[in-house]
Amino acid sequence: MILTWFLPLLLLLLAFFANMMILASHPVRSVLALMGCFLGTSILWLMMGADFLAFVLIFVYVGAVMTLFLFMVMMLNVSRYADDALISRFYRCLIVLVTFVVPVTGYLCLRLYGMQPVSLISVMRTEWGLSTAHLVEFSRLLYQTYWMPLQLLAFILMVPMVVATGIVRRGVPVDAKLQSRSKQVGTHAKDRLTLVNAKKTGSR
Amino acid sequence: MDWILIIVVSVLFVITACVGMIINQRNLIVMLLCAELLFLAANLNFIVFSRLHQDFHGQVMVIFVLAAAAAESAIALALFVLMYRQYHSVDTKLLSNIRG
Amino acid sequence: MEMQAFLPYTVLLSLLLPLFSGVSIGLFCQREITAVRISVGVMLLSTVAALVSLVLFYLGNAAFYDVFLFSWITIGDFSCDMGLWIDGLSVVMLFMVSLISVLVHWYSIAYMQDDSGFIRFFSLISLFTFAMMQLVMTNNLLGLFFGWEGVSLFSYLLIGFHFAKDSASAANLKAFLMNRFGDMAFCLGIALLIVSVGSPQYRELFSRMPDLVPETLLIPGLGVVSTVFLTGLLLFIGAMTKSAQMPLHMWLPDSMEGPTPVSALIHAATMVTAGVFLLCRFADLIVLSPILMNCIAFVGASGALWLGILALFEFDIKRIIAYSTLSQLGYMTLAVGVGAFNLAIFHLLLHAIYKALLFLAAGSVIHALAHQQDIRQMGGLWSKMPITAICFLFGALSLSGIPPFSGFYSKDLILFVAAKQAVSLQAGWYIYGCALLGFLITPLYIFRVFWVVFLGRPRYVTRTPVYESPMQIVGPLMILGVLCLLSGYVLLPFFAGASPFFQFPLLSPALQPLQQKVIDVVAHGLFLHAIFGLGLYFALFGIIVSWLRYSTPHYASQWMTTHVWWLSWPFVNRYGFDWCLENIIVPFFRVSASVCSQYGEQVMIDQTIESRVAGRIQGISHWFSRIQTSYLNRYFAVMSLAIMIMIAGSLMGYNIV
Repeated sequence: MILTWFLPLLLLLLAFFANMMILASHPVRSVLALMGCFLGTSILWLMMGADFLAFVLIFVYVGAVMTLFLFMVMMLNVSRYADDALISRFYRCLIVLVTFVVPVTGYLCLRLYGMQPVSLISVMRTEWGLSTAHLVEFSRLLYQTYWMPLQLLAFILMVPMVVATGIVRRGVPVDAKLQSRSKQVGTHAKDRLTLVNAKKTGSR
Repeated sequence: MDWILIIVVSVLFVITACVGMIINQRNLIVMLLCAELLFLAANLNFIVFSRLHQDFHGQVMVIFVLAAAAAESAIALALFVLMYRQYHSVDTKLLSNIRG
Repeated sequence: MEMQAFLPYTVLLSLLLPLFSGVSIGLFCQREITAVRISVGVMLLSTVAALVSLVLFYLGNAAFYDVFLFSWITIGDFSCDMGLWIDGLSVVMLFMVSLISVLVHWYSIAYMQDDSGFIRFFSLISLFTFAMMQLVMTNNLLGLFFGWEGVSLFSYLLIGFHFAKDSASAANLKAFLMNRFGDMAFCLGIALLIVSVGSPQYRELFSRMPDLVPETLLIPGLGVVSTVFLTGLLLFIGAMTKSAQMPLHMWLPDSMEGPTPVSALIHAATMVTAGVFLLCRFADLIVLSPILMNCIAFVGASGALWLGILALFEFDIKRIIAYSTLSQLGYMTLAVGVGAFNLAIFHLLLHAIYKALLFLAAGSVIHALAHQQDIRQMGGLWSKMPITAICFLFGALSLSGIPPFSGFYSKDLILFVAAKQAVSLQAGWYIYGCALLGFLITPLYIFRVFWVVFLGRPRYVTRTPVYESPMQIVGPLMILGVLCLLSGYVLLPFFAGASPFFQFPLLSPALQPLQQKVIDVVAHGLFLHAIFGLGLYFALFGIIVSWLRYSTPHYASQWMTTHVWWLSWPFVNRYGFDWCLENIIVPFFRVSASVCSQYGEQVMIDQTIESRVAGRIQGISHWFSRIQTSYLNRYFAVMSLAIMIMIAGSLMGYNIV
């Protein structure tokens, strides 16, 4: 019974996470909400038989890229951003929901989704004729037909990584102990040496 | 008709991401997250339609899109770090030097 | 595999190496020694490659090779394929260009060493060499045009090498603009050829050339003109400016403002011969029009005599040699005009060698005397600079046509052909007379230089004592001197023998016996023939007259200019060509340019367009620019909104995207 409503519930959960992402008060929460979106989507992909991609999404995307985001947000210490918008956040939520989310989802659901019950993952997989053979076919496509684009992709993915490292390393790190030549050149003798007029004391 | 629901999810993602870009006034990171959500919606559509047409080329595309998204976020995060180093903030209002 | 299979590669190597060195030196080179090493080394390789190509071609049997390199332009039916046209004419020219170029490169090391633009100079002469080789080797009209403009450009840059000097920048402008005039005619000529034949490829052109004879063009105002005549005339006008023929020659003496190696390379051996090369390349075309041939002979003969005379009234050593170049180019054109294309190329080669020698020897003198160019301020250099003096003497003897020096062979044969043709040409006796009197004038002016500069008492004032130039300067001189002595005798069989190196079409069947006569004369010994001719005696007489006249302290033509001024007046004023240019043509363009500037620019553009139209647009755009807030989030928001509208539209069923 609960499995019948699994897909609509998942849909609602995803909608919730997506909305939370854009409405969260702190970027860390936004990132966490996006991670929730990714996880829910990977369940959808599993249901549709894209096993490999679902795991890629979880391991690579959620595990690496989004964690990188999380670290970055925490490292940059992006504090609670004071919004100078005229309307408060609650009303903004309301506006978003009323203007976009509710009408579109409602329209789509009413228009396209009859009241038939929703099948389970297994039912869907059998219904769509899924077997393990599709993984073999997918791999053949990826590693034989698309081997050259895949190599290129790996290279293209490497370039931004190098570039990103280069960008971040550009300039002097904040806490590095380096000499500033311009300051060294710009000093004057009188800044360094102070002549104190010491009072002469008589010899004993 | 089950796949319709999944397409509804992807449409929802797109709309949410667009709305997020509109209502978000300050924070660059949230903008980047919205872009990630757009990529996710595109991937979801790829997979749904590759299932519907029993054509695995769409799933191969997903790999490429994921790689592009990862590359994009790597560069963007590096730029954020750079910007943070310069302004001690990632506020979009600070990036208005091109105003003539 | 046949050896000739390597021919395209050697030619291509020879062609592209100067481009490589020019570009790499010009863009990347920082140190002078590197520039020298790269350019001289690469030029040497290029020369070797050219020599190999020459030998390979000579050993082969084919009349020509048309090598396809790549397809450049394809528009509808018209297509242009870049490639190499390897025949006797082009490989000979290729070797000549690379040989003179490498010697000039070598010479320039010492000559230019104190100059601040040393690296630029080497880059430019390498690029010039490439452009000239491209002109020679290309297999289509557009490639020819490319090379033609290339030599114009680099000659412009090299004449104005010392661009801070006013006279240099005026001279390069003059040369460039006069060449533009000829290029316009040349451009029209090749356009006409492409239109009438339908293809820019030489292969197509030469095979369809005879079909053009009956074709005519209707020109408004002139009536019906034969296509062959008009095309040939336009090409000839292009050749006239490039080869500095009589009415369009004024740029060449002025271009002596460039450094002396440039004069030797460009204004003696390569660029100015491009016009003669062009005429020989299109020999198939111009032989079809006898009237045009007659015109060519007339122009060439006039230049040979009248421009040679002007050298007697000059005092700048380089300008004297420049006028002698004009005179010799006249002989080449004359040879083309009487149908002796082989002899024109023969004379071109020999002239390149001895004229480069004369220029480089003059440069050696100029270098030693700290950039003194006035021959009145020289004198008595024979003992100070013996090698230079002997080399100059060799060049002068060649130029005068004294056996066994090289100029004798070609000039004597040209005079012979001109004499035989004098009967059949219009104004034939004038043409022959000019050629013959040129034999008298040539030794007169060149030995004037020799006596005045190298003999007599020293009249120069220098801070340091004068010595012989270093090895880098006299080395090329000695090589060229030896070549001067040998080249005429060695090359004679290839150009005028029974089995010439390349065949040209004959002007008419009447020329067949003439050519046979040339072969007979060569077979019986040219010297024997010269003894019974007039030319040799005229040349010797000229030397004697110049000895009597100029070896004494009356070294210049002061007597004539003071006592019979009315006789020397046209020569001192250079026949009024420069006067005409400065007082009629240039003012005409000045006035029309100022009218255009007044009404076209100030009234039309500044007052109408700028103040009215542009002002209104500025107002509108100022209003619109308020949209550009430059806030990233606003831009994102607008983009997102647009996407949402598109999605909403497509959900509603409107196909927006």
